[in-house]
Amino acid sequence: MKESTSAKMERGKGVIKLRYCGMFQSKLFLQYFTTLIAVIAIFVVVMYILNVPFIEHKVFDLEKSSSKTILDNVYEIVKSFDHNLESYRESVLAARKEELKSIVAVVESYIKNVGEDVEKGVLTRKEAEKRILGRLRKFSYRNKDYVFVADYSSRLLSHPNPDLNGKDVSALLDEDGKPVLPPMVEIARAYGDGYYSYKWKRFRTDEHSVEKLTYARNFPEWKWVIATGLYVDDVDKEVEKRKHAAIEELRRLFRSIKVAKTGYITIWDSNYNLIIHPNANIEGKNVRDLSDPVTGKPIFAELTAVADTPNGLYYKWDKPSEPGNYVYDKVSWVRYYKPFGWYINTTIYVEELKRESVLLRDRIFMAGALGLLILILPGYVFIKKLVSPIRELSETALRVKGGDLEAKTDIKLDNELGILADAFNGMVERLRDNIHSLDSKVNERTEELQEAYNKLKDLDEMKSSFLSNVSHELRTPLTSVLGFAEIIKESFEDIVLPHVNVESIKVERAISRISENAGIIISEGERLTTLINDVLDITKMEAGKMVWKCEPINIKDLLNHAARATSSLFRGKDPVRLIIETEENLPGTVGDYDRIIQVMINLISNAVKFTPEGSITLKAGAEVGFLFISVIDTGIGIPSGERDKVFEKFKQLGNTLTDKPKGTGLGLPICKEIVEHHGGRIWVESAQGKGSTFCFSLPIAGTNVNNPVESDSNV
Amino acid sequence: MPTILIVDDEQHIRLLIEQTLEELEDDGVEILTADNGAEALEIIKEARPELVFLDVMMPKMNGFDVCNTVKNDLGMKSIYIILLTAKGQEFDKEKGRECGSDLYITKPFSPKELRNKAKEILGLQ
Repeated sequence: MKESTSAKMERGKGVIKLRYCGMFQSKLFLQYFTTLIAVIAIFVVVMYILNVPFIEHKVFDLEKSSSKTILDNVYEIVKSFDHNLESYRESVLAARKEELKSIVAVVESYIKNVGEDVEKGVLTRKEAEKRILGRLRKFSYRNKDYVFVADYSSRLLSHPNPDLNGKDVSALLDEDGKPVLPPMVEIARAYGDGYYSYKWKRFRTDEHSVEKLTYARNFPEWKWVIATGLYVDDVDKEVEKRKHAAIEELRRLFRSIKVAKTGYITIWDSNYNLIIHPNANIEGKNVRDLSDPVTGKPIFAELTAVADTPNGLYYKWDKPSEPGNYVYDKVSWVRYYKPFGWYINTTIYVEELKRESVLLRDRIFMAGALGLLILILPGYVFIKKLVSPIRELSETALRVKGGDLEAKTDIKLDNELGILADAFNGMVERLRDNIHSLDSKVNERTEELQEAYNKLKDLDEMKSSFLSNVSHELRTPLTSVLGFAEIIKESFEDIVLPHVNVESIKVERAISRISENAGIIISEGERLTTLINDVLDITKMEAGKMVWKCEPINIKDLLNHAARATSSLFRGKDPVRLIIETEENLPGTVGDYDRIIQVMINLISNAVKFTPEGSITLKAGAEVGFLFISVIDTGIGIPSGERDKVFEKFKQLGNTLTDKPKGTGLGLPICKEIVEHHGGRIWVESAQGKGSTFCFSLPIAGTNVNNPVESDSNV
Repeated sequence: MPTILIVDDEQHIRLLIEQTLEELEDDGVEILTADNGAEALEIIKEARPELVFLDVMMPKMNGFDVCNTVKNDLGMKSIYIILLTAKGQEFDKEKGRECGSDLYITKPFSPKELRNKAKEILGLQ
């Protein structure tokens, strides 16, 4: 009782331990959980593989186009800078043109003033012309600019150049073969005033002739044309000055522009003069011969070649942090600004272009990994919630399997698991009820059976004691009958007979009868004794109460023993011989030696009874695992219809055949019981009038009991 | 003078054994009889016989008990006890050994053999 309780507690502990030792020991949980994690991981990986290269590509493109946009913007800045310069030039030119106009107007009013003096008669026309023209010849403004006067026939009345002063220049042509003065005079006479441009050499210089724009005004009172001009390159110089200042401005601006992280803007002209470059050492230098250290080709020629193409130029370059290490991919796009002859270039490290996409990729990766980590907890909780009831149910099922029919699940769920748990509890309950009712029925039946068994046992014991008593009760009077018959015979033959005088035939006959009859009483008494013994034997055998010995048996010993034991039967039967025939080296058997001898004696005495003359042969042989022992007689034989009956109880053949053979009718049935108990078989072969052969088999024992005995013996 | 005790509740058996052993009286053997176990014990204690023929199935006190008392309780190991009974069932033989009997003869027996056995035991041949 104590033990079983502690065992239960142990088992209970085991269950509790199982339940609280963690979900990770549940196979189902592990399967579900790993599947969930695997699914999420695969999802993340697939999303990553599908999206990241695409996004990388897109971001790279975006970065690339933004770099190109910077280039475009720079281009636009340069363009607007150009436009500004152009308008500046126009405004300068317009101002200078106004200036020409106002200078001529001043000269005209001076001439008019002097002309008034002529009208007043203060001066003569000649004196006035001399004064005016003399003064104008010396008049100079700005950069040796001057005013000249011509008449309508294109004679230069006043010009600072003495070579031209007073000369008729109507036939004078400029470098391009264009007439210089006559068109001017024509414009002034036709429209009152006007501008005309031509090529002219600057006064008192050795410079080449440059474009000159001249304003001419008609002074009809004196039929003069007053003119003054400007050299366009003076304007251009002014614009150029302005341009230089603006380029400095652009430098400052472009230096501050960073493409991606370390990319920059470079500008060079068609002669490979570096106009703008962040490296002050090479800015302003000619880079025609600067070559790409990897390919050996002139790098700026290559860059110039890709101007205005969308793909740009990819090449290897070093980094400011690692000078001389030309392993980093760079990309440059170039645009050509024709009005200036400028090549505008943005150059950038490819890895910087990719930096954003790398950042984005890392972020997506981190998001995926984080998502995975975050999902583990709800996944754990969800699967635990799913698996816990199944686990509890399986534990309960195991307990039920182990015989604990009181096991019950406490799962209360509003789903299929709840139904399963309910159904399981119901099933166990029904099983328990069924087993209980079955148990009580079995107990009932067992009790009934026990009662019946007890009754049978009592009956069996009654039968045994009855047989024992009968045996005793029969033996006791039989002992007296037999004993006294023997004593009578003995004392009659030994004591009485010697004293009887045999004279009358009657007395003699009576004497021989007494002796004979006593013999009959003895032999019949002995037969009765055998009958009682046989009845007792067969009853015990049939009831399974016989105690069998188990010992090794040598067949030759057995046959010789049987021959000796039955030798008395052959006494006085001279015509019948006993022959023993056995094979050499017969294997032995195992069994109850006394009982097998009993079989042999029964068979031999049967044979003797039915064999008036001839022989009885005991034969033994071995075949296929069995020993075969035969008792062969040359007697009267058994009719075919009777052969099967000889092994039945109380079927004695003797009475119907002859008066002589007498027995109990139990000998052969006893033989059958004994042989069959040993695992053998007994049967008879017979031919009427020729004899019978009783044969029985015994299984060969594993051990070979070998004892050399003479093979043949005559009795 | 050697003494033989015959114990049997059946008068005829006692008579048969007495008659069988009658001729031993010529050699000076005294034959005593008893018809139950208790009486047999009294005689054994008093007369100290050399040989006892003891029937097993007797009312009051059976042969096994008498034999056991004589051999084991009284320690009279020298008394030769022959048990007489109906053909022995296995437990009979077992009980015969346990109670210390010397020989076991089944009924019916041959008077001649019984006489020869008695002579042999008493050394009268």
